[in-house]
Amino acid sequence: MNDDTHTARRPGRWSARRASIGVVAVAAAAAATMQVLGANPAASQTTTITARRAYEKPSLDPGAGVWKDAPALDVQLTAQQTSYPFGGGTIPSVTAKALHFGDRLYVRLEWNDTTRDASIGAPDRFADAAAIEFPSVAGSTVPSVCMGQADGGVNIWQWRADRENPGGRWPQSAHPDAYVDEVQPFGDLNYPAKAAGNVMATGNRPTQDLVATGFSTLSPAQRQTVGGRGEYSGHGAGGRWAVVFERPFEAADPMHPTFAAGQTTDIAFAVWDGARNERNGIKSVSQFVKLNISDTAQKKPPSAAWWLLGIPAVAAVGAFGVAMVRPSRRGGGPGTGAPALETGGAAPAAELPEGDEG
Amino acid sequence: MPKVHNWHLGREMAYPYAGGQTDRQFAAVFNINRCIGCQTCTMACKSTWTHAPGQELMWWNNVETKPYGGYPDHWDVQVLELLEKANPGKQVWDPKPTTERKGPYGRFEGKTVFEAADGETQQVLGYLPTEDAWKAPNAFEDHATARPAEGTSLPEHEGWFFYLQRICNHCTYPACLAACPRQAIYKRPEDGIVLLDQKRCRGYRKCVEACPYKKVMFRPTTGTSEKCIACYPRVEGHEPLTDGLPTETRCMSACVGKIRLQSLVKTEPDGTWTPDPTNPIYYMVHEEKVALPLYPQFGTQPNIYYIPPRWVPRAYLEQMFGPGVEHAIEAYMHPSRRLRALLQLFRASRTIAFNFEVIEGPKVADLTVDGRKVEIFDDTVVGYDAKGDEIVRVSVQEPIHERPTKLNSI
Repeated sequence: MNDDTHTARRPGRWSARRASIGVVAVAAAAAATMQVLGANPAASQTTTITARRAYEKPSLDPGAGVWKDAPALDVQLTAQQTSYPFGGGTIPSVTAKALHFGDRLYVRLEWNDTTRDASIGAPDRFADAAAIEFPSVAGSTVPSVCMGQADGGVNIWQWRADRENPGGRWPQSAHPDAYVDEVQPFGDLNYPAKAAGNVMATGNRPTQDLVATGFSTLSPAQRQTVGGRGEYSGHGAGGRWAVVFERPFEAADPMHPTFAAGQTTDIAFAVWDGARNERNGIKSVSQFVKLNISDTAQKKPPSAAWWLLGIPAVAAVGAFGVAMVRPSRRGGGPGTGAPALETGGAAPAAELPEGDEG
Repeated sequence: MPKVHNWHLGREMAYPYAGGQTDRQFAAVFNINRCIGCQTCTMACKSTWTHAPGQELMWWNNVETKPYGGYPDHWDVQVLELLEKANPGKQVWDPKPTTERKGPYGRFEGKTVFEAADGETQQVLGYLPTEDAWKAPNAFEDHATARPAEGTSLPEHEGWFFYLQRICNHCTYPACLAACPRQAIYKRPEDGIVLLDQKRCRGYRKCVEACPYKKVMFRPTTGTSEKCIACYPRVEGHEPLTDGLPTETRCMSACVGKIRLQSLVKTEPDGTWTPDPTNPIYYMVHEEKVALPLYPQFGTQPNIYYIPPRWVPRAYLEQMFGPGVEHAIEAYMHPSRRLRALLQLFRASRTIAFNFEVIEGPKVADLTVDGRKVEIFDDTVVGYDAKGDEIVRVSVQEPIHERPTKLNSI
């Protein structure tokens, strides 16, 4: 595209070459900077999340450095309007990233939420939550994104804020002076849901591993192998949840997808805002997007030594590029830094500034 | 949405599921006139089922003082208001009582909680009470509407209150069941008891929001909702004290004021009751029409029936129990011989009486009540268990036992 532009302007051969070298150099510097900063301007234009092999074990910490340069995808969410109870749509989007390490898949979600709702200690309080959905058979024909269907199940990983808040399920945390009868002669029988093995009442993970084949069929997987952790940061308009989910590639339930490097499968997301009494179908949901579990390795970020050497190097390359571009600009050729950046792969040609023509 | 017959309303109504028939239906009569508000029922239930962490705000059985009390606060007024807003000015009855089993109280012309719901966010019109609303189950206890300067008298007291004893109504068309998005609530075919599956529940609280009687409660420590289970192990006959026979619930058995009588009635495919005049509950509800459903206009066809308090203004009672109030109070204040005898069966045994019989006895008194001459007969009521064996017999006139002058060696 820029070749045409250059041809039209008929710049001198050396002038054109200088400009090209300058553009490439500035672009290289910009790309290097973006790589280091973990920014990816192209991510929002795709519908694929690429999970590279992480350079180190990601852990469940949403703030772990390994996530910084993982490619991100902003996924739009809308209100659930397929099945009773309708609702949600209050969280407009979620930023998704994925990695894998040691035959485990890690998915990180981040979204804005003005309040941290991490307690169900009162009968009128609901907790923030998020979920990921996969077709039960990875890479198979996509089942209905709405909880799957009879001949196409789904595997759902749900994280709930109340489950990792130590006081999130105890009225006593909200009412420390409340009297509680501590005489409990029957053990788990005092907690029927626990005695019945309900995943809502058992276990101590903040995540639940669930399977479904349509509305109303959501059930716990035979084995709970999904881990996760959430972290709330900021407050008010700047408040955000970041949650990491992980699960071994290997299936622990007939309705679990088995993952593998080199595989592409579908993935969808849901978020609940507890402050708005969202639960069940009252949620913000996405359509399926692609998850590519890539065979390529994530690049290890530069060490401190790289920074010491790299920053001057990038600066030098950038300065060289600008120096190369400037003379041709004087001579009427193309080239501020902006189109060069765009040539670097971010923006369509149509956005080239017209003012530099001629 | 399927249509079902609701005989409380005398008409068909929309309900998310077809049916309404169970082999038998758990049902009881509560005689409000006799209640002394001692809360023994409440504590019997609490100490049996809801004494563990997370159940602090949970009272499956409660006794509230009307008109101001309520657990949760103002539950009934709030549901009535929602219905009135949804169908302004049209929540009315066409009170043409008939003897038909399909519409003994006339026809309700308004909308039920199912018919007034939007079907998208709610299958049942309702609301989720706040935490505070559950905290004072006995608020306004014994508060009367006024303190009359010079006493008061029947038929309607100037200043009044009454106790309303409440458990889950084990409705024929449960609102909680209709609202649950994952069918975690079910109605048992053998006895119509409505249970919440503790394995399936995911704590969405749509049932808490939907139940117009607010008898499903959320438990934070398990993340699930819980409700009255009608002491089903006792109803199934697992109570060791009654030799495998179906036994009344803890709240019924413990009743000090002898206001409660429980049984199981047979039902027809359309949810009406199979005629069975020797069943004590059927007899009081259908033959005598002395006991009425609580807020029948909600549309759930509840199965706890109340003998309304005879001193309370009729307009208030009619809002609460429907158009059958005047007849029920008349039937209670001037009972037939058979009903007077049956009223003695309340709390005479904890074994469930499936049938009863009245053996006529001699006249023992001539009285004047409200200017009317009343003859009292010492009839005897006999209760029969599930197998048809006699469990108890009680006479109208309480037997007098004279203590011997010398009782023992002292």
